[in-house]
Amino acid sequence: MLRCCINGQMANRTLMPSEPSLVIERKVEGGKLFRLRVTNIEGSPSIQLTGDFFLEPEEGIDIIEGCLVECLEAPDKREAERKLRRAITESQIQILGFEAKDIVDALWEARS
Amino acid sequence: MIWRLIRFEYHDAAMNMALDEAVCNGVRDSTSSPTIRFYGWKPSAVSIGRFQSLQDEVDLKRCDELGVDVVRRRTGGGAVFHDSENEVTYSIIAPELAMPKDINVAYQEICGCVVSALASLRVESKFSPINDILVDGKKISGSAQSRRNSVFLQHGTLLLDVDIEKMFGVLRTNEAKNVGRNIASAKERVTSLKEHSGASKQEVLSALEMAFASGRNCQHGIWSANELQEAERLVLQRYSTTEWNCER
Repeated sequence: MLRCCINGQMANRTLMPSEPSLVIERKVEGGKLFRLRVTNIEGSPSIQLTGDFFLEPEEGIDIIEGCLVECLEAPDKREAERKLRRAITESQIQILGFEAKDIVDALWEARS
Repeated sequence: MIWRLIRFEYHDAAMNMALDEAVCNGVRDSTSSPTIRFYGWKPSAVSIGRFQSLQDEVDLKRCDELGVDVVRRRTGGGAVFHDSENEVTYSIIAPELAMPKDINVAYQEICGCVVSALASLRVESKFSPINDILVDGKKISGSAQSRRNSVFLQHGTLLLDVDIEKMFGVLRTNEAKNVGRNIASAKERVTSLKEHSGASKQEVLSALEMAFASGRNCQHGIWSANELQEAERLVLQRYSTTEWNCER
């Protein structure tokens, strides 16, 4: 089950194989806005991260998006956050506007 | 270090972004001087941040009706409406080693130039982290920074006047952005120099040039043939392409 925000309205939604995408949106206090767009194509999820945050190097966005898909399979939130932090550190990605925890919180709320 | 200062000039959206990147490439290759430039957008344009979704942020139909260009920047940050008559944009491009290592310190230092320019026009403003400048609690200037290939780029805007209806007609404002800002409407977040000063555009440009040149060895300059050629290439291969602008 995914909790999504479409046009500002929060709703509980089940991500079905045929459904094109669900959007999870957060405005981080003192930070930036981000959206996770979860798309499920024939049972294979992909995640796109968009927003007005700063992230360098720019190629790091692909690493984070790939890691978030893996995080969907993590046994718990702590493991998901550890996985994402490790990916960010290993790839020397600098982010301004949100923390790894913000993304995982959003993803986990949605997943649960 | 000698800085080149390029005086205010107009270009379209794709060329403006291409010129910034051409200078970045030139600074990387040691063929361009560190550069401060001031420019406008003709026609008016919306620039979106590197990681924003075009569809989420811009009313493309409205842009088309109004003849407003759209371009994706290589810097992060939010969508900006660049009104051709009512805004000045600046860019500062230099070797990364010449700028503060800490991102927040660098924002503060360069936004400080805009704050100083406004002060010389008797407008009291303050830097508001991460990347804004406020007058009376309202945004008058925003900026975005990148560090790529050991080259630092920051570009930012200063609103001279604001057509609120047009601005928020082309931007898809997001109410979520207002959460925590204690402001009822997106329209109430923005102000312009016209509301606080009777300075002409030329006076504003002079104030900005003086503030950015302060403490730096600046000389007025022009584009090199190589920079213009590289910018034309970047227009064709990146900034005017659907692949780039609609990437997200």
